[in-house]
Amino acid sequence: MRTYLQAVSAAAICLATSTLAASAADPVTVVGWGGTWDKAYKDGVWDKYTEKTGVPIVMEEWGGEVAKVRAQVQAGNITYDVVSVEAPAMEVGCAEGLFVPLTPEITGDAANYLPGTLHECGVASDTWATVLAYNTKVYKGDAAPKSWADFWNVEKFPGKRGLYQQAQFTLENALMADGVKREDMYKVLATPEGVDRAFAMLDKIKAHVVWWSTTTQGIQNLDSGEVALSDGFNARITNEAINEKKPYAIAWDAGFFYGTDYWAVVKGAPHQQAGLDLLKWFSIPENQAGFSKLYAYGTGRKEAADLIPADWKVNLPTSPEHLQYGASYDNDFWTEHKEALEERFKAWLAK
Amino acid sequence: MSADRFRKWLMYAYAATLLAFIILPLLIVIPMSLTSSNSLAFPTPGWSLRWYAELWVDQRWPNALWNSVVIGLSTTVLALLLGIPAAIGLAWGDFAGKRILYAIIAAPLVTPVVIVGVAAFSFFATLGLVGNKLSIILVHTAMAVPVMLTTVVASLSTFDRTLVRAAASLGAGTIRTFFKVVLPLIAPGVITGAIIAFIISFDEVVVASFLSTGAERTLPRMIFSGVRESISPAIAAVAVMLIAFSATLLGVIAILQGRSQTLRARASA
Amino acid sequence: MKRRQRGGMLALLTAPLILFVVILFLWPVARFLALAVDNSDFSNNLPRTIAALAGWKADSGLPGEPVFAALVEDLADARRAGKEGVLAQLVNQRVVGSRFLVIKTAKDAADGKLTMRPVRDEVLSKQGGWKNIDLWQVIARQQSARTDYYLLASLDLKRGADNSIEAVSADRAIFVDALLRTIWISIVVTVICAVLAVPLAQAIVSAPPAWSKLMFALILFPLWTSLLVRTVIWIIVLQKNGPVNSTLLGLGIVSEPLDLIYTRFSLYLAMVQVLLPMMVLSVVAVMRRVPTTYMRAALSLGAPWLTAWRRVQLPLILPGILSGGAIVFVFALGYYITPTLVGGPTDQMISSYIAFYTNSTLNWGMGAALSLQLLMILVLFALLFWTASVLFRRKAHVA
Repeated sequence: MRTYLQAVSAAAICLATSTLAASAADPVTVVGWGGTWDKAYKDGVWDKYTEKTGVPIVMEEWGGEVAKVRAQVQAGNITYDVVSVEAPAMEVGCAEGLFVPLTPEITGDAANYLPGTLHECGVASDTWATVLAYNTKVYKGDAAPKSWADFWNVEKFPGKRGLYQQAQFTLENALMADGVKREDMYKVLATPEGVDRAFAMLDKIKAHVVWWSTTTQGIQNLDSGEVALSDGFNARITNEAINEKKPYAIAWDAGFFYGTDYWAVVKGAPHQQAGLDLLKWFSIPENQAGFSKLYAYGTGRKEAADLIPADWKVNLPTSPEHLQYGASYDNDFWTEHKEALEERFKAWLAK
Repeated sequence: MSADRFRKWLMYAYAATLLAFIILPLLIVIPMSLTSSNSLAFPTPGWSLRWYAELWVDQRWPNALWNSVVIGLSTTVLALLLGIPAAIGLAWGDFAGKRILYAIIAAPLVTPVVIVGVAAFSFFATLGLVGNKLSIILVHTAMAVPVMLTTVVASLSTFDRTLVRAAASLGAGTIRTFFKVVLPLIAPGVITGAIIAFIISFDEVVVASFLSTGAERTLPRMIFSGVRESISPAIAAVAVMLIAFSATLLGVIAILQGRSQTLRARASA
Repeated sequence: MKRRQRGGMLALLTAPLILFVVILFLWPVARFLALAVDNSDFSNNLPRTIAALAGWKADSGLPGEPVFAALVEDLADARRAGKEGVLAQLVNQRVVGSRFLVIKTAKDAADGKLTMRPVRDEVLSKQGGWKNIDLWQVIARQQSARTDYYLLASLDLKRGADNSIEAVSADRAIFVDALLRTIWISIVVTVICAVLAVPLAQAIVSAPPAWSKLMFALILFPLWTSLLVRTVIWIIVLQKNGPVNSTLLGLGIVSEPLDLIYTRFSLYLAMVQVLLPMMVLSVVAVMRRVPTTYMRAALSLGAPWLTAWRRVQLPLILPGILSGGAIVFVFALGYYITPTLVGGPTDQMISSYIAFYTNSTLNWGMGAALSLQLLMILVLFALLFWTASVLFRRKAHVA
């Protein structure tokens, strides 16, 4: 009888722990931007979380379409738990109540964050910049392009150049090339004349452009020699240059715009609480730094920046020596005008 | 006569060139996928199987293959369950409105696949079935049935129906007659149809890319997003494996067709 | 009588499949296409406002208190139903720059922050964007649960200020071009396939049986490989350091690699390779039924070979070319994967736009309107081919 009881209780304990383990092992679905970005997050952040807590993380990639989150919420069929969204989508999604508002209990004191990196519904996943990059084997020393006007100058810099195939980023670059100051950018772009001016600039180099639509394509065009200068996301350029010893350099002083993406928890997500727990853990400076150490983008906590080795920190767009040449994308502007401008850009491109 | 010969050679030379244009691209990726380098280049700088090995290391590829196989096999089974009875009805039945039925069944085949994908996405989103294998299986079945039906109907219409009557007169029930008499004789057509149904599902990318998310990603869907990201030798390796797979299935069908001819000859003898 | 009964029984066997296709295919497609004229996200979410705007005219200035009171109620309800995001997107599509205006006003309304009377002044002071007359004009027009907005937009048309139909400005016109481009690409591909296929079919039919079988198998083989794989292979073959460019460079024919991929050229190449087998199959099927005696008779009467072929053989195989052409053309019209992957930005076909609108902005209305357009073109050309083949057959009969 005693052995029987022992056996039963042992079995019960086994069962209990195994169900516990099963519920603890319920994975959180985290949606990021794919490719090397996802990999840096996995290696630098998520794997450590799983190691520490036992919660596995399933990674998915997307294009940041807030409409998809809305459709999931409306259909009551939410598959995303935590998503990385660009700032304009964050504004819309948070205002609509698609994301869970975050309390200081989760994010920590707002005073510890760099400006613009903490949102009512999210903490910065990364601060990125779109920069002018070039091949240092083709353009050596003083021959290197120094401004967006140089980028547009097809006599001085002959050959094809790479540009991102969308209106956002490209219109700003075009207007910088036309001499618009960064601080005046959205005053100009908000007027129909300003938009026409940007497209007129694009007309000038259309025949010399190789368009890219994924970061890797942009890099491959540089790599194959198809283009010798291109716009691009700074971290990808830096990572290739340093880790893969590719001859790429960034002309930070040509001027650049930067933007922030945020981690947000979808309201009503199947693992909403687990998602919030994840963000609470992510809000600790060391954990945020795990990403920036591998990928040359900034994150939110000020202290996180101090944990990054000085020789790597100079590659982040948020480092003081670069930030003087940068300006932030206007999120409100792009929230309102994105659909219309991207449509016009598509029409322009197809002509 | 020599002009005639010259014309003949010209014609064959032309045929050979055109066939090369159709086939050669499929073959040239084989050496390219065996590269040891990080990027695809021709001629291949060095040889290695590393990209094939890479496919098994990166969990996502075997996982996608598994998804594709599960969806493909389920589609095949469902297509057969729906298709064989319908094929019997269409091949042997003599009723009004047959053309309309054919038109309905063929609709998924002629509708542009993007429309199929988008419509399915909007439909299954309201049912909460996006990201679920079931939704892909259902749409793939609708796309596979019309093609599968043609081979089954073809083998049924050459089928000698006196055999059915003979079985009935010997006291066999309908079900028994079907499994013991009809099915064995139309088996080559059914198997060919099943293989076609499997391939249609296994290769389909547009519907899968609208309906599958994350862990449910199918093999073509992986290739599609992989290609847009970068053309790595791994993509070439997958392409080669898929081509080899198709070649194998085509060989199976060729053998089956040979057998069905002998079977038919024997049945009519 | 017995026979009819059996016919009924046999017809019943098709019922499961027919039901399956109707419920899981035809119904979803029809439901989706109906979204092209659906306006319910607009009319259902602003019912009181739209009703209150009845009789209002733009030249009489901003609407009065009842309209604003109705707006606050409507937006509060929309917010509670989680619909204000969709509504904001719809309004923003028509009056750019009003997305936050709608979302923020809805939030305030639902949170009970717009309670002063008259509420008109409070709304206008808190959210000045509502002073925009264009906005009210757009809202006033949404009485119906149906709209022609997307159908017009798919033809680069819109409703002007006075509700009359006008063209959108040239820098926004995009769909008519895309439509014409889609048709043009399909025609070119069909013609190339027809021209290439006929001699190949002739070779297959007149070759010795063993060779004929081999050629036939080689033609069939690509049909068994996935369309995606065949498309991907062209990217690999045509890229900068791919086999074609390295061969050309190696032979000294060109001094630097050519831009072969992401061009109209690569698109035609890939589409022809993919669709050619269908054309060949169709022509071969007809050619095999044509007795060789006709050609021999014409030749023995002294006609030059080409003349004999053109006068005798060609008319006989034309039905095969026509039906093959119909198949190739209809498939080409709906192409999506190939233009997306091997075409450049100026080579995108209608299908790409359908995918774009549903994927990136979930603009179902636009996607559905473009789908409807594509289906109508498809049906139109199918009818054209059908009429041509009927006419041709009748003519052949008379002759």
